[in-house]
Amino acid sequence: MDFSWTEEQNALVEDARRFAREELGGDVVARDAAGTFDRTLWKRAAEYGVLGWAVPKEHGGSGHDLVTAVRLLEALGEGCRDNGLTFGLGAQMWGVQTALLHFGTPEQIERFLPPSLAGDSLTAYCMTEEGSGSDAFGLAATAVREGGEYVLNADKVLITFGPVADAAIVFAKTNPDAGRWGISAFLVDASAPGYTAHPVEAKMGLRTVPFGRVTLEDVRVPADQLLGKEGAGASLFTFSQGWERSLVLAPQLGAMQRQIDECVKFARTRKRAGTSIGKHQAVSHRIADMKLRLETGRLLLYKTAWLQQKGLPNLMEAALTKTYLGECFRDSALAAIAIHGGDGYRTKAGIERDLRDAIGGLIYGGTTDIQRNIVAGLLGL
Amino acid sequence: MSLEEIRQYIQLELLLDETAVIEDDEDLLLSETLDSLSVTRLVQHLESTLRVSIPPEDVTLENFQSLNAIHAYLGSRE
Ligand SMILES: Cc1cc2nc3c(=O)[nH]c(=O)nc-3n(C[C@H](O)[C@H](O)[C@H](O)COP(=O)(O)OP(=O)(O)OC[C@H]3O[C@@H](n4cnc5c(N)ncnc54)[C@H](O)[C@@H]3O)c2cc1C
Repeated sequence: MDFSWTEEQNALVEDARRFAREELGGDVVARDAAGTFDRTLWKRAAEYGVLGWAVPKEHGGSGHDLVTAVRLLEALGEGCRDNGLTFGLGAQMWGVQTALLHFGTPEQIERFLPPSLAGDSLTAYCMTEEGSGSDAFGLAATAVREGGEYVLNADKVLITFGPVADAAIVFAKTNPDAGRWGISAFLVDASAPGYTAHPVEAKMGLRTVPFGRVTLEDVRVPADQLLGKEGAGASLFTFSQGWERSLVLAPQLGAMQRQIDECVKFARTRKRAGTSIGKHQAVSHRIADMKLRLETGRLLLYKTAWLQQKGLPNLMEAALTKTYLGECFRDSALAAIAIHGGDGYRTKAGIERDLRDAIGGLIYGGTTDIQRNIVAGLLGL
Repeated sequence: MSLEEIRQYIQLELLLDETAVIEDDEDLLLSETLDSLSVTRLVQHLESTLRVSIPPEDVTLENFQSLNAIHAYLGSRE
């Protein structure tokens, strides 16, 4: 086992952190308050190459191995205070691009990937419905074959980028009698007649990326926009969720590093009754625990990414990573508020936002309860 | 891998019941005998034991519905 990084990797990481700090800033407090998605920042991140970090060179990416890619995303999350933006980037990379690269035909990849990498096109990933969430395969959406087309009817909710996406991967039943094995995935243009992107919905955190409802009413989709084989939708979902679960929380590790740096600085300089608050164990131990969460979370993430890169089984590690990183970020965000006292609670200080953002990570990509179900199942329970 | 070895893996590792009766043509998927986690584990087991790669899009009803289907699919990958 080797824990060292090459000089090249370190230089890339250093530059990614600098880029994020200098270029992906802006007034995130105001954007969070208004629930504004800043497409200029998205484009800037794309131009820097973020969306292509894990995409093979032959498809226009930089072809980094996954361990390097997650470390870069970590640096991005450290430099960029906008957890919504970094979550959105991860959702495109792991949910959408992975599905496209592994299930798409060469024509589909050629059509949908370049604009995604360039930041010109956003693709929504439409699985959840009012009637099915954790039990994703219980969906009601249908796709009926008519000649050279499928006719799709679907009502999808909680869809990241739903209100603004240019295209969508939509899961629907092509064979209603076959349960999960009758689900297929489709690439759908948002401009297709019958496709409706509903307004942005207000939410607790991650407010700088929009999410909302997407409905399809008799949308006619050419048969060559079937993504993967008919009936392979459940496999596609399981596969891309595996990637997302493994890797999507990488930027949160960076955010946890940022929290530690800020808390240390604050605890050293904040004086109460003539003493730096960091001299109180109640405060310093909180920060020690934040460090412990960061380092243990990091090991788990890197191992999961390494297994994923090697194509080795990592179901267990992925479920543990999703759960642990999600809960660590929540706990450290709470600790950061406590350390900052009243300032931590003030919206303008930007510290409480991390906690609101962290809660989303316990839900999207499968709740922590579902991840624990997977761990328990793999333990033979 | 023989049909018998696949049956045994399902019985012992996935169903945790060595006495479970699984007929060669019995449906494993629509009946939910194997849930999605079990199917993923089965695929990973087949991949690591046989050193073959099973593309995720091949994990369909057609290829995995029964012991016979799995056996035939693996035969086609050799
Ligand atoms: C920020 C954010 C972004 C999202 N983006 C997308 C997106 O882009 N595309 C998309 O399709 N979906 C998206 N979702 C939806 C997300 O995938 C679902 O919210 C999630 O899978 C949970 O489903 P649910 O909301 O229906 O909750 P439910 O399934 O109704 O669960 C409610 C509660 O019951 C528990 N529960 C349910 N079943 C079980 C079980 N079997 N065992 C133990 N506990 C259980 C859950 O853990 C939870 O605590 C997003 C959600 C969020 C918060």
